[in-house]
Amino acid sequence: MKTGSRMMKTVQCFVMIVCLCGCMNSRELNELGIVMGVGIDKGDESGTVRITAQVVKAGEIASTGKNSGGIGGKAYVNFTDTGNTVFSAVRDITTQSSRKLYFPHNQVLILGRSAAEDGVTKYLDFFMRDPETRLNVYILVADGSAEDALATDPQLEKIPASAISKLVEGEAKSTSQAMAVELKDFKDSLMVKTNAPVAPIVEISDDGEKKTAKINGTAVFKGDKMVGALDKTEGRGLLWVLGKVEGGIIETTSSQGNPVSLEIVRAKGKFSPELVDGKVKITITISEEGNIGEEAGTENLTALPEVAFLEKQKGEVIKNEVTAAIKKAQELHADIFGFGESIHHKYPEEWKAMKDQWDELFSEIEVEVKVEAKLRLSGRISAPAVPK
Amino acid sequence: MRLEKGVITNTQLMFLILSFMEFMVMSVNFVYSICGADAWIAVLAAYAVTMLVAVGYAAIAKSYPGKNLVEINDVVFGPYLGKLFSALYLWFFFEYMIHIAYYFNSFWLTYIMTETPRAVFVILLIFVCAAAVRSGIEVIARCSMVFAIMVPIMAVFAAALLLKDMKLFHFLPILDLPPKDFIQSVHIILTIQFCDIVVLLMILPYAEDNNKIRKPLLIAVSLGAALLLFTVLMSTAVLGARMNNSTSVTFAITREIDVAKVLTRLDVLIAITLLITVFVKVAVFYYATVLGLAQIFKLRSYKPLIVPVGILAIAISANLYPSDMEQVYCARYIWPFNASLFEFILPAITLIAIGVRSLTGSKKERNG
Amino acid sequence: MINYLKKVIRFRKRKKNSGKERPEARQETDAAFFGELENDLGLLRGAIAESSDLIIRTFIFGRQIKAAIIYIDGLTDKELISETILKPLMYRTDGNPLPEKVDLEYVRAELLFTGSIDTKKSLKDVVSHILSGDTALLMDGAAEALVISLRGWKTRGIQEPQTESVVRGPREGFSETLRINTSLLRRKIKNPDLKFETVTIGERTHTDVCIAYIDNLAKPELIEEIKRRLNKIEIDGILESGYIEQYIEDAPYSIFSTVSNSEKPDKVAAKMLEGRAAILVDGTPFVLTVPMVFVESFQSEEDYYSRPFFASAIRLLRFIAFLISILAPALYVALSTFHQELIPTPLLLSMAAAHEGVPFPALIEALVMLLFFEILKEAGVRLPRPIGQAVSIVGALVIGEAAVSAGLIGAPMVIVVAVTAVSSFTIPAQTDSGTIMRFVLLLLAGLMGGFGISIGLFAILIHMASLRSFGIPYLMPLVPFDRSGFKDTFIRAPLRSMTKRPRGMATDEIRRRNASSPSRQKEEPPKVSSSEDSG
Repeated sequence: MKTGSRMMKTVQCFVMIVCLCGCMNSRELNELGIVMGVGIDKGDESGTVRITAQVVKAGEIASTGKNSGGIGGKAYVNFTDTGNTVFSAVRDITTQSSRKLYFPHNQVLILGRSAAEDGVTKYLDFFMRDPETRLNVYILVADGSAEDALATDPQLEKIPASAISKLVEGEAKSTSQAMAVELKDFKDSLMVKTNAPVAPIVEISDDGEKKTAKINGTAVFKGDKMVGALDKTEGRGLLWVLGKVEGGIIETTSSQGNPVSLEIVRAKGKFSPELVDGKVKITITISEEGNIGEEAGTENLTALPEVAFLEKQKGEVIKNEVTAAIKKAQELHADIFGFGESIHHKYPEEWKAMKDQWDELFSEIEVEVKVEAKLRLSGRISAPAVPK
Repeated sequence: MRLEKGVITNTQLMFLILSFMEFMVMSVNFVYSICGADAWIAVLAAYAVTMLVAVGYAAIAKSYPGKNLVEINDVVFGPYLGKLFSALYLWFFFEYMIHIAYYFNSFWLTYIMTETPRAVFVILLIFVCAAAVRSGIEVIARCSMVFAIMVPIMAVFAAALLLKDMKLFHFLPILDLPPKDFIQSVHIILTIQFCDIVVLLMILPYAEDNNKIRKPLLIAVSLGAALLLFTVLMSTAVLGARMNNSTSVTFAITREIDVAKVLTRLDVLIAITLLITVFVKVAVFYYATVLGLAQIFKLRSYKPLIVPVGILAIAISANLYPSDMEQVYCARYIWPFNASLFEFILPAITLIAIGVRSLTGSKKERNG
Repeated sequence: MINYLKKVIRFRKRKKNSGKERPEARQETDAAFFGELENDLGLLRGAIAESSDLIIRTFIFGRQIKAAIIYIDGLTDKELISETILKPLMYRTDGNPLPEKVDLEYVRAELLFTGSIDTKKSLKDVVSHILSGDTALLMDGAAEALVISLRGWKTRGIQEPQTESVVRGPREGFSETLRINTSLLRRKIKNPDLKFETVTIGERTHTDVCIAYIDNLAKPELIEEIKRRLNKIEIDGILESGYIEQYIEDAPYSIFSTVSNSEKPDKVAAKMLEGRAAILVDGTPFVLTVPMVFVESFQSEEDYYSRPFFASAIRLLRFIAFLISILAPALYVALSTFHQELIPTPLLLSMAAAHEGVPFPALIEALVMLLFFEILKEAGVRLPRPIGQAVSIVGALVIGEAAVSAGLIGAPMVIVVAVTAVSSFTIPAQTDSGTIMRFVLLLLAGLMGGFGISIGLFAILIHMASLRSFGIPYLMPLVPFDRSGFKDTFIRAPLRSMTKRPRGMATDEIRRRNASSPSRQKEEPPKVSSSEDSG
């Protein structure tokens, strides 16, 4: 055989292999049902689960607005179905949806309250195992049902799921009163026995015309069941300890008793355990910097004694928030901070003995909170705009 | 008659060895569920042992410059026993090649293109490797120079993007393992990751300067170990406890990369790295198998054997294990012992035989 | 079966006899001249076909000596013929008579005014010289002929080449005449070692092909190899250097060219200074240079005339542009069809929106657009210039816009193809291979996604790694790593630091370029007020 014709035959074989086998995984863009949000609720019958998938309508999303939705032109569709397991419900949705669901761009995973209290591991396994889903979705607990949460009005965004995910991010950055939890962090906490996972709570408020979503509070899980919630103050207390506060306002009063709002610019927090006489002592060190944001009174807050006073007040507020968070956690017997793990890291030998009683030991630990709060800038004006 | 007329420089040899070893960055997954966060210690221990072993391999190669493994076996053990040993080695190389091809296939099937028929990736991979093998060792060496540089760059790039996700406490507590698990993981890393460089005994003679083989070999092993250590440290720092139930840790890491929401979803980095490293590995094993077979059967050229070996490889590797879980089980519990035979025991016997021969040889000289 | 065998036998016989069945060649034998003018002229007329531009001018000079000059009208400088040949022979005043016995040697040595005169004995030689534009002088009584070189014909003149224009640098380009081209090279390299060796290739065209090289720089093995390959060429006619290129290159079936060509003397001279050889072909301004490595396609002579940082940035840009031009459509198709999870969400949503109404799969879209672009390119070359503008506007803008509005093609696809098209023009030397690679990678991407692209790139890499150009590996400065060559690939190191020629090109002794680089001599700081220290 001449080289030329042999090469032709090789090329033919190659082309055949590639052509015949390759196309199976190809999906055109207009065959995808891009899922932006998933809601998990406990099904009506016991042992079932109801899944809501929010799918984007790509045509309506076009930002040039050629076919601008107009009145009631929603850019998304919510599909709901019930099944015995999450995967079976998801697959069942294809009987309703004209396109196969496509998960890699999912933004939020909302657990309805009923599902959260039922134990979430069985619901989350699908999202951890399937190669399409990703671990950086935000996980939230809905105040009512996840289905309702996904049906709220997106207000400034086009799709409720992306609105909620932006709410979570914004919340963590601007007010830091609830933690933004991604599935990977949730999974990390789930895998450690003594840690208690948390997730922000999304509240659905109905003012008659439309429903809107709001982030309010943090849900606390023990094992994989939701056992309670932290309110805004306690939520921020948790964030202080973990060092995840990125912004927010501390409301306190000046030396004259007038309300003052101090803006948090940056904060650091860490904790370390110590074993004192067989008892656990946790030292939490928080350092914070902030600016004067607003004052309601007339005194000049930039006077140095005022500044010192405000710093002390700030420190008190932070300390109170942290203490409140610890108290609530101890009430719920849930180690949301990860104190147990830190003891494991530092004292592995002693931890082996303490591990199993950690639930009770957690309520008896001694906590010392050291706060260092500083006030740096006063904004554009020093004294308020009042006559001298 | 020399079947391979190509010559590669010592620098090219070093890069070839380095890129050959880079596959271990991906295959180290098998170890994580046994030793968890202490994988890096296991890597260091394995590296120490490997240096000794590499010196042994270099000694074998140096004592018969210009002869590759098959020829050495013929000389040291005599024609019949030597051919038997060579055949065993070749079977080992072929097996290794199939296993890696299977791993490659299942990786793509699991993570990236899940609905393609099972054998497609293997077919195309073997195709491309066959083209490389056909062009000779020089071409493989040249391509591997490019790849040897790309993989560390990607690793460093990924690490740079993941700096903010690394948490040192993921390493604690240190050495919380039962010693049995630790030894097992060291054994696994040793046999799967490091010591498959025994196949290089087939290629070392084609380097330019046969007397200075030890240096490029050791340098390459050290660089490879450094790369592996770097990757393991990075994986542990980023993932922590989650490593224990991931089926592919390196993949899980790249999914974590999320810088300013722009540089996100860089899974393709891993896919490309895998492709590159598997390519070099399979090409080298393929080449060694084909060359060795040609030498055993005293053929004039190894080229006619490329296609049959390739087809065999495709056919077997597509269905090597009934399921991925079986492969993981085999990699952890069975393969290390199988590989130890060829990577440690047989070369050790060869070294001893060489030593005995040189002693008796010099005795003969002194007497006769 | 028997019919098949008969066909095979017949085919083989025909091949054997093809050598013998040539038409009667003209008398190109080594016949010598007779010495009788009439018979010699008869020989010549038999040797050269009767043609209206063949001029035979018989004349008588001296003491009734009959002679004739033969030349081809249009190839010679007629004024010089009359001035330097006919005049000195025929115009004799009485005060300057010719001696009694005048033979051809006397004519050659003492009578004719021209510079280059040869004495030829064989008919074949004389005929080939006449056809090349020389003038032959036959004398009654002489058994030899004089061949006088007075060539002169209309050429295009030295203009800026159309395919390689520069912002800074000489604008001279080679011309179609071999002698002009060699003179251009001489002007660049005034080195006594510069050699030109001419051979004639082409059975019927007898084209002059000249190998140019610098004697002590180029490897003798290289020149030997070139000569060997040129001698093996058996072809009717060489019309352009491309014919030679396809015969002497190492891998005729590869998509990559292993022989470089250029129209600019400074580029060719620079390559010769590195130790390469140039092949000039009469009749074309494109000069070949061998050996060629892949990175040469990314080097432009302008890089060396500008400053290092800018030149390095532009080099990098060219590499990136090349990658874009071969990978962009393939990547787009692969990402949007197989790997949608790799696209950031907002981008994915807008791509999905753009793709909503389009009836074709992304692969078909891309193929059609690329095909259309190639058609446009080809049409643009063939069209007469006045219409060219209109076609480009119509083709690119209107059709693109209209297609998008009609919903036939998505807007992102038009952008991708436009970007590809523009990037493909940055590397002129690789346009052919780039186009093929683009299509192949696109097909692979459409069929197998990212895996297909990777396999395609591997195959290309393996192929490039196995190519050699006259002994030099094709991927030279990159892959058999050569540090001095590396200073000139992705970046362009300052001229002062490029002290060595690329490995393997020149003879090994002479690897240093600048014997005395100015940076070595550091100036001493002026000694000002040093006397004050001691004081």
